[in-house]
Amino acid sequence: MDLITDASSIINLSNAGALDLVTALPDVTICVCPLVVGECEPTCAAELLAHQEQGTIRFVDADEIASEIFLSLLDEHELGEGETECLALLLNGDYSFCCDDGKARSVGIALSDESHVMGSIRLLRRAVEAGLCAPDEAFQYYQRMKDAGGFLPDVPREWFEP
Amino acid sequence: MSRVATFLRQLPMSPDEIATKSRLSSERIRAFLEGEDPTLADLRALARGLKVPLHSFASESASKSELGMLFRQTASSRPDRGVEAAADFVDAALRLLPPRAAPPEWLLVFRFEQETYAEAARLADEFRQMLLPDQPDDPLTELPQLVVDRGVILGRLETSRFEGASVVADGYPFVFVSPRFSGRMLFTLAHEVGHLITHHRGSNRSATFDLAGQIGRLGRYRSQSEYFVNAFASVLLLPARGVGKFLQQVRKTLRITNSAIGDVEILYLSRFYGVSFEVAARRCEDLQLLPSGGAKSLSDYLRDNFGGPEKRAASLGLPGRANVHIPRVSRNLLEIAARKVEQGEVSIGWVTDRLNCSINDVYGSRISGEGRRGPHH
Repeated sequence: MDLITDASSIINLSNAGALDLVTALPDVTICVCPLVVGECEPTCAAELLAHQEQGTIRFVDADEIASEIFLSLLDEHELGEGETECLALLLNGDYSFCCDDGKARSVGIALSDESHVMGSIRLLRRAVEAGLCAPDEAFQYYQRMKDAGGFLPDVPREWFEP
Repeated sequence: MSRVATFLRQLPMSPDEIATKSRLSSERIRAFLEGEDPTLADLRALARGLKVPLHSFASESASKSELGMLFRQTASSRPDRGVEAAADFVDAALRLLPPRAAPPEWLLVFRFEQETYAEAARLADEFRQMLLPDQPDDPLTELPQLVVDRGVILGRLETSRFEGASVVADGYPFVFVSPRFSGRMLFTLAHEVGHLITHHRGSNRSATFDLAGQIGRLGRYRSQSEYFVNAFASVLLLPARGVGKFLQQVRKTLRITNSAIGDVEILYLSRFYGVSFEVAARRCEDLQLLPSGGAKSLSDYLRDNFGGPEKRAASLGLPGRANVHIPRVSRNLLEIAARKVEQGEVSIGWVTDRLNCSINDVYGSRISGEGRRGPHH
């Protein structure tokens, strides 16, 4: 699965120190628009670039996106430019969408369907399912993301159990 | 016709001029005008070159917003990315903030007869009395927080030829400060606060954009209103009695017996009050502690002999200035924005694009204290 991931999720995962974990997920390729690097603070941006160099994160070419579709989505939904880029890619059908913003996720679900839209904590649960970490560790990552101010739902530790 | 073609056709520019500004070929621009869809990379190049936000291409209303036009009229017709961003910022803030019928009351109580130094000094004293009634002589390095506590919304003026701006819109006061060294930003903030209380009264929407040469310079000012708010800022940040007491103490400590005030005392003064050497020296001149023209002479002397006042201060081992923190977006707006994101009314990307801040700035407003500035791990 090619998962186009927006800045809110990337920054949440970076804040929790969980980027290495989710980029190791089998059958998931984390994809980001180059614009995301500009939205991150230096440490997070450096992490992204290092992952790109290692081939564990793929940067999407901005030329893949037609401007008319991008502008039409921007006008209609009034989201951020980075979120709208992700939605334009989601619309062409080759990607799923990872985002931790409530409004952008709702628009994503309306344009595609629920199975193609997820948030960073779903990635943590998949990491547990894949045996990459224990439920307790996933819960700790989640708590760190919340402590850093991320917009995440309230979930109990049990939610991370497979 | 495509949105991009519609936008480009409305510009008072030839295809070749657009090509030069955006660094795209004239052939590409002509193709866009004929309706060819640019890639997102092309669109970014156009936005950068034309100094407009990307969303200006999305809808006609975006490029013709009332505030955008007011700001452009105020700041002259030459395109300026910072002016456009400030218009976007205020537009977005007004969508996030609750409607307000009138500006905060305190903004309306400062009255003056004429734009003279004496009147500016009186207003500065009254303003300081309102902010810090028990500290008439102290440094005002907490000015950013003090004005935010009074309801002013602060933002940064980036990638702009302007150094500061003040706006009153729909009952909310805004100040924008260009990121510079802290002494400069403090004075710019005080200058813009001066505009807020003197030049935006009685108007539902008004804006002032100031170039660097209009704020705290040593020479003459082109306009009386700029002279007036510079005097206000100078007195506000460097109260006469405090300056006198501080200089006396420094001269006593350093055992200076020469009757004339010199560069060293002024450097100490500038560090203590958190302002630049030029601002401190100019204030000494206004207080007749230096002869007329003395501030400029001392400034030239330090530049020619030591590479500038800051280098001279460093060579003397003077204590640093108190840090003046002017956030990219003040907390009084960020907290409201974060609540709207949480409620799903706006997206975090929309907030960060329009308010010119980072996702971590918004996250930081949700946690206690000053908020986070970097990764957690």
